[in-house]
Amino acid sequence: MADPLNWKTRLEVTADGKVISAIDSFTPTFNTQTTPLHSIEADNIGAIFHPQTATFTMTLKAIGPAVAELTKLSLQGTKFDISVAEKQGNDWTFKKLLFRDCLVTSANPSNVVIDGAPTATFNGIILGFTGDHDQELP
Amino acid sequence: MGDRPNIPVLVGAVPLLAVTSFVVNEGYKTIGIAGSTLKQMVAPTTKTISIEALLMNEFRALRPALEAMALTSRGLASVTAPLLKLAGIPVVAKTSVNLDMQITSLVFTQDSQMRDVLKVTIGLTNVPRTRLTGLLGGALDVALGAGSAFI
Repeated sequence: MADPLNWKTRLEVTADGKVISAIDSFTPTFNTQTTPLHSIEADNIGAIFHPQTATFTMTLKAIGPAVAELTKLSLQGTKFDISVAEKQGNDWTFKKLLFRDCLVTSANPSNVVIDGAPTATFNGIILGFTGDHDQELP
Repeated sequence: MGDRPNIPVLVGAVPLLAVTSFVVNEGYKTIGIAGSTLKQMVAPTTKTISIEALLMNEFRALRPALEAMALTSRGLASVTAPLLKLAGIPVVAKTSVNLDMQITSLVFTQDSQMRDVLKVTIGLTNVPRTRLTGLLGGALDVALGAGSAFI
């Protein structure tokens, strides 16, 4: 294990096995909603579990083929798999994160700015994330 | 409010631990007299109770017990009805005792928003049997109602 205070690892995000390059950020979120239950006599006697959902936000530079491919997948409504894995190093909490059957809910393929490369943003939902092998621990 | 004991609401022999709403509807019926401002007091209105409760996880197994008391099928009615002839279903909560009740509607709801939970809405109507149980129920209810304020 490397020095825990120094982050030397590089992560790699792939969509359907293809590396998404020039990626700025990838933020997956698991929403595990539960509500406390109260009876007429007592508080917090239990919890009601609601359906779990997961979403992601991805920001990348609109250079290279990745943005075009993701835009195409968005417009076609095709499900694809995203995975995050260690490319170099071993500092990360996980070994691998797999998000199966992702669908894009909003795509912002290229905003043109005066400086720097155009950025693209994709927001989407993840349908498969609760499997045993979706989160690989070191 | 602190940590309060979760006292169940008893519908017959079935304990409901997660009651979210308990509504008792009662009163006295009056009729206006034609051509007069006076009102005639007629009779007590039929008492009804509406209970909303959640049956969570293993408590979902209580559904058949509620159905048996509600006589939802002819088979169940043949078994339960002779018992209900003598006395109705007692509904006992911390705040009130209601004897001689009868389940008149029973709605079970399962939806996608609440996992492993069955929501039940029970409508009960008072069906008086004998004068004795009526008096006994009234006395118990008064005693508990007056006492529960101090529990």
